[in-house]
Amino acid sequence: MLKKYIILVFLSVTLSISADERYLSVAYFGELVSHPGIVLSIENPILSRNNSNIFWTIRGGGYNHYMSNSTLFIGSEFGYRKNWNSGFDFHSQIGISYMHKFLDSPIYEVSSESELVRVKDYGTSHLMPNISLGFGYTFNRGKGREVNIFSRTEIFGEYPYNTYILPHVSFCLGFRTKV
Amino acid sequence: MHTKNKQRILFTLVIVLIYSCNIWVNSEDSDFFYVRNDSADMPVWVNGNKESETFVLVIHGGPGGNSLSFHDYYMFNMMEDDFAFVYWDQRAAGSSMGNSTMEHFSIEQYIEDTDKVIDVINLKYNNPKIFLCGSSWGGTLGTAYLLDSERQNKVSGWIEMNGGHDLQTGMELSRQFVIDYAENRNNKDWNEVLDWYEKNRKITLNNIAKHASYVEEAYGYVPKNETMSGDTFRMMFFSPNNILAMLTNTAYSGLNFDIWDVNFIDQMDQITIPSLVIWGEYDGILPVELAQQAYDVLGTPEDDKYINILPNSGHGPVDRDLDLFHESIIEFVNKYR
Repeated sequence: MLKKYIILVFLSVTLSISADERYLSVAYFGELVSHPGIVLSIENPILSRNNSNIFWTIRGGGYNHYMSNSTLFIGSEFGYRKNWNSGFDFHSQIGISYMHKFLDSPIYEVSSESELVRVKDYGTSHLMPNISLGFGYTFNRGKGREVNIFSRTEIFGEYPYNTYILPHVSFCLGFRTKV
Repeated sequence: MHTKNKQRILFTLVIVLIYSCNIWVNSEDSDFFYVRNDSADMPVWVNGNKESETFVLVIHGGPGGNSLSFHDYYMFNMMEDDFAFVYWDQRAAGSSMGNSTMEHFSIEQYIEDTDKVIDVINLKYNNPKIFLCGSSWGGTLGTAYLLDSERQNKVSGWIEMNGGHDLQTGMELSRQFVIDYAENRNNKDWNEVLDWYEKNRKITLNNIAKHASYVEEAYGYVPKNETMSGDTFRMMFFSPNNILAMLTNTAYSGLNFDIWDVNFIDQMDQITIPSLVIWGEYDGILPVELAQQAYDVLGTPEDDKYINILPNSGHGPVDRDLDLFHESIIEFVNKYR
C-alpha cells in the first residue's frame, strides 16, 4: 500500500516538473483554525474549458498543535475550479498525503527495572486523505501577472488512529500565482 | 470610529487572546508529557502546587471521556494552589494518541495503564503523596485499581465522585430514574420513552447510548436550572486538547468497551485506605443510593471514611455546590497527606 503510494507521489512530482503551466500557492494552514501551520502546493492544469478547469497538485506542509503534536505531510490532490468574470472563483480539491506525526512533549516509559525512561520520538506514519472547499479572488485578471487570494476549509483524516480514522478540520488562507 | 478607540479595541482583543492562551502555557508550576504503554501515548498534564508533594490523580469518566475538562468544568484549577493535580487522558480517550485496538478494552489493561502513570509520577516527582480521584467510569477504574494491596500501598487516599463501583445496580437505578421522570411527565413523548424501557429491561452496551440520552433529557446529568462552569472555546482552540479526538474517542470507547455488568461490591472491603465518597443528589446515571452503598462496603475504618452529598448537583458538581465540593476535597487531602 505504502509502496504504491510512494510511486504515485513520485509520478506526481515528475509530471509536475514537466508541466508547461504551473501555479504556486502558499497558505496558512490552521488545524482547528488556531493551531498554526503552512502548506505549499504546485498546481498543474489538466483541462480548461470556458471558465472551468481541472487540475492536480503536489503539496507539502505541516502544523503544530501546541504541546500536543507537530505534523508534516506531503501528497497530491485533484481539483476543480470554477471562475467568474468578476474575478471570484470556487474550488474544491480531493487528495491523499503521507503524514508524519511527532509528539510535542516528552514521552516517558517505565522500564522493566522500574526506572523512568524518556523515549526518543521518531514519530508515527499515517495516511492523510483530504477534501476541501474554498473561494478565491483573482487580481489583475487577464491584465498581466495574476495573483489569486483564497480561503479554504479542509477536512482531513489521520489513519490509523485507534484502528479507525481521526477526522481533522483546518482553515487555509493564502495566495496563488503563476510560476 | 476614532483611531484611539480602534486601538483600544484591538489592544483589548489581544489581551483577551493572550489570557485565553496563557492558561495552558507550560510554566514552572506545570508539566505536560506523555506516558507510553502498550500502543498508547497518554497525555498527562501536571498543574498546581508541586512543592506540596501531594498529587491528586484525576481518573476521568467514560470510558472515553477526558481529564482536562475537570480543570475547567469542575474548577479543579481553584484547588491547584493547595496541591498538584494530574490530568491524565486514558487510552482511546480524550486527546490520547496511539493505536489501541478492541483487545485493549479490558479493565486489566486500564489498571496497568493507571499503574504506569502512578509509577511515572512517583519516579519523576520523588515519591509524592498520591490521591486518586475517580469520577463515573473513573470510579470503576479507581476501585478496580485499589483492590490489590500492593497497588493500594502506592496511594494515600481515594476519592470516589459519582463513581461506578457497582454498575449492575447503578444501571438498574438509572433506568428507574428515567422511568419515574417519564411517569411524572405523562405526555406522548415520555410515554414513548416508557415503551422503550418496557422493551429494554436491562441497560447493556447495545442500548447505553440511548439510555444516556434519556438520562440527559430527564436532567440526570445536570439538574434543571443548574449551571456548570467551563470554557469550551479555550479548550477547543488554545489547549493541547483535540476536540475531534475527544468526540471520536467517546464514541469509539463508549460503544465498544463493555463495562456495564461490573460489580465490585463483594471485594470493596479490601480497600482500607482513607476514602471520601462525593455524590450529586440528583445524579440520574449513577444515582445517589450508590454513595451510601460505597461508604458502607469500603473496608476503611469508620474514622477514615467520609460521605458528602452535593445538594444541587447531578452527575458532576454544579456551580452552586463548587465551594462545598472543593472544601471537602481540600479538607480530606490535607488530613491524609
